[in-house]
Amino acid sequence: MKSLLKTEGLSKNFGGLPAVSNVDLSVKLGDIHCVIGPNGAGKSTFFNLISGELKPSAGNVYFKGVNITGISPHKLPKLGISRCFQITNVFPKLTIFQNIWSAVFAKSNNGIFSFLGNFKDYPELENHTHKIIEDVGLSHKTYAKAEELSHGQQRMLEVAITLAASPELILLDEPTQGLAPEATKEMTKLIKGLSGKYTILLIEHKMHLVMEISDLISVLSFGKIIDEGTPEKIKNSSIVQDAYLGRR
Amino acid sequence: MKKYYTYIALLIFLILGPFLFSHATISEIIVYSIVAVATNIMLGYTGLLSFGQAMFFGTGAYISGLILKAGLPIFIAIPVSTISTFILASIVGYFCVKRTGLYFICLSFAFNQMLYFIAYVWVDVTGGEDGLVAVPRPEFLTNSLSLYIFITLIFLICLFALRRVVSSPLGLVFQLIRENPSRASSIGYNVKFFKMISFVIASTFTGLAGSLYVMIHSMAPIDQIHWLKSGDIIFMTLFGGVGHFLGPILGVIGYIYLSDTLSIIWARWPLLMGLLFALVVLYFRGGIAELIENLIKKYKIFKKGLDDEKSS
Repeated sequence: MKSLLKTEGLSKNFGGLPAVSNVDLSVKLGDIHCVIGPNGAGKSTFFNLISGELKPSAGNVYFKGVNITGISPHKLPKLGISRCFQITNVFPKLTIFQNIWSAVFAKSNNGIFSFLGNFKDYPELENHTHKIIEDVGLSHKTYAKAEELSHGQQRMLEVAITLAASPELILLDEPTQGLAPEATKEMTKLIKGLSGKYTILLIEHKMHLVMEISDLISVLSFGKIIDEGTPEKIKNSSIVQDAYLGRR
Repeated sequence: MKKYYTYIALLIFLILGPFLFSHATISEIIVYSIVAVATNIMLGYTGLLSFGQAMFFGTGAYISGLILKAGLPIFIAIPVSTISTFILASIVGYFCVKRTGLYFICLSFAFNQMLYFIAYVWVDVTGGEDGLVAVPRPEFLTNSLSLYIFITLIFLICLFALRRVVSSPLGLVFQLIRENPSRASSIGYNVKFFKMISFVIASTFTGLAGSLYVMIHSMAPIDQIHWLKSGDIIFMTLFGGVGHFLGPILGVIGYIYLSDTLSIIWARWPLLMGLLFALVVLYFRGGIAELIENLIKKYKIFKKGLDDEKSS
């Protein structure tokens, strides 16, 4: 199958310390591709390199064959890449509706003058927003402020904002971080529901979740990919077990 | 409903104003109301604190004053000074938004100081330390009441325009940036660009207000471009309340009324203003507007309690 996102020799050094070194990764269209690895393996740095938050020291990132290395983060949604953050990252004093509408509007907007229109001028955006809110099960809270939501609900909102831009590729950074078991189950269900519709690149710590939802797993350790394969293969890989247990 | 009340209250104030204050004071209040409401777009909606707003107020005042002194009509003076401030704000804004937080504040402050010293040193044009004096008023505005009415009409136009900004998607984007700039960027908004737009909008309206100010006392004193004036502008806006569109106007009324009365009683009145500022920041973060809102809320709860008692 065709690869949607590809990195070639992607590296990042912080001072003399290589956080990510020479990573070649290819995310196939329609896959849920998971990047795992022990703490400090460079997973978040790797994500920040793809999403443009950090500029790589070397290497390239290609999306649909186009070189997007070091692109400004605000240009990604227009290309079709949407990012979801590790820490809850919403707009606390704004309503759920405004949170999601903004992301929908950012993707749709045509020209600077649309910014001075009326909210009523965009009924199709409004409908789309309501549909997304319904999809993540927050419709009873549509006009509540984001800060009034529970932690689990805020994570759901976070995913909803990410989906609002109708992306082709979603970057999910530890979606179940800090969630209670109940909420984790709900989130797992939500991500599973996304498979097939979207291509997802995911960082996750919780092993049972990774094994359950991934099509392909890449294991990162000390900034390098040490193994790659199906959940079945990774489960039995001795290299991976060594890395996790600190036997190198 | 609530919205209408505040606008009706504003209208009543505009009509009663000339009877409550001297014509010069009420004109000053209206001019600074334009400044405060515009500054709130940047401060309250976008979350940008600039200590350089006086440079735009002063630029508007000086340029408009110079044009009037050259004998040209007011309908050239106001647009030209507003457009000049717009150009200045675009240049200054472009550099300021390159940095965030403290550095942004310092940059705006530095530009303010530069403009101040230009006004200070360039005596032939700006009058240096004495400020720009003997600015003639156009004939139809020589009466102080007609000047007040003229300023108020422009104020209402500004209010309408700024209201349009905050109730459009642009206003929502400003709030996104205030709430969470990195997230705003990740959903696809160019944060620096929109910060600059916000800065330019606030500053341009401030310049427009400056161009009106010069006519009130027929002069542009140099302290109108000094950074202390920038502090006053921030204080007035915060004092009134950044959480509401019209809130800052209350701050302007309060500030100008207090400074007028206190300065007669005690020469060291800025000390009291300092104390007031400390109190507002410590205990009334939402300013006067939030204070009133809370009182109304308490009153409603109180009234509801009475009603419940009656019915039971």
